[in-house]
Amino acid sequence: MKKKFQLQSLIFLILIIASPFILFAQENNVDMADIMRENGKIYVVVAVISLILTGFLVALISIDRRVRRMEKDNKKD
Amino acid sequence: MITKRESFLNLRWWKWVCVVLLFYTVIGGLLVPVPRLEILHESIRNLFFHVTIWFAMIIMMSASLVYGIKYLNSNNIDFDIKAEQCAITGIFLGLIGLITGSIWAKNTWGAWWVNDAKLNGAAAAMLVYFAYMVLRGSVEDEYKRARISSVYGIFAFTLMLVFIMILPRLTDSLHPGNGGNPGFSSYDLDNSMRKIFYPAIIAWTLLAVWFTEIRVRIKRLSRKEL
Repeated sequence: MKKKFQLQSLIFLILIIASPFILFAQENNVDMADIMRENGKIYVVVAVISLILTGFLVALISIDRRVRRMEKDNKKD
Repeated sequence: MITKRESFLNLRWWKWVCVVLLFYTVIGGLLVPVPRLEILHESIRNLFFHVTIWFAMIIMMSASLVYGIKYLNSNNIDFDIKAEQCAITGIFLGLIGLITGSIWAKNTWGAWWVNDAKLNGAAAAMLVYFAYMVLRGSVEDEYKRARISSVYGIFAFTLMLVFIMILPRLTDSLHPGNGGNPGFSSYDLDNSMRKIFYPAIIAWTLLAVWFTEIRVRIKRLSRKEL
């Protein structure tokens, strides 16, 4: 009976000492995309967006080339 | 050159800078560690996209103003073409800025649109530039159009500065950086975010310049064909 009480008070004491850290942890417990980072799936998003950006830039560069060709033809005339 | 066909990679150097910085912005912007903040959560990464797009918009509008003044000094119609195309790009960026801001507002402030000095000011600034385009469309004579729109462009730019920079700072505003609200830079923008934020401004601005440059060249060609 006495031992059980001692154990309880010890746990209580630990909780009190640790409480600032627990509170601190809660304060910093803002929801972020941690799971996506943990299992690496954020890289899927990065890959998809990079691919879209690549496609967009290739289109832009080809328009740039076409305009340059038109400018050259225009100079010849 | 051996073949007549031009290489795909033959681009002006700043366009390559733009490509590299865009990839840096998108990949870095999604992966860089950001401060853990209530309400904002991961949406703080919008700073690399929404805010930088507005920076690029203001730079394009400044360019439009400079070309307008250059036209008035020289009567060279080429400056007017540049002024017009810069303003078109600026309007594009402004619309993107309004829509992305609206999405961000829905998820942090709880509404698509709030009756806020900064938001209404941005919308009013866009209306001023819509009027610029309408004005251009309504004058037939090329030189008269260039002169009138250059003068209106100066007026429009001044109004834009008042609407999005001055008025929101005089009243209360939810928007960061206005009405006594601190901007992100004061404590949220830590050093790891700065490494993405400043290159992102350059990346979006260069993309806007590229877009404008192509439109200017097409416009010049179509003028020659007339």
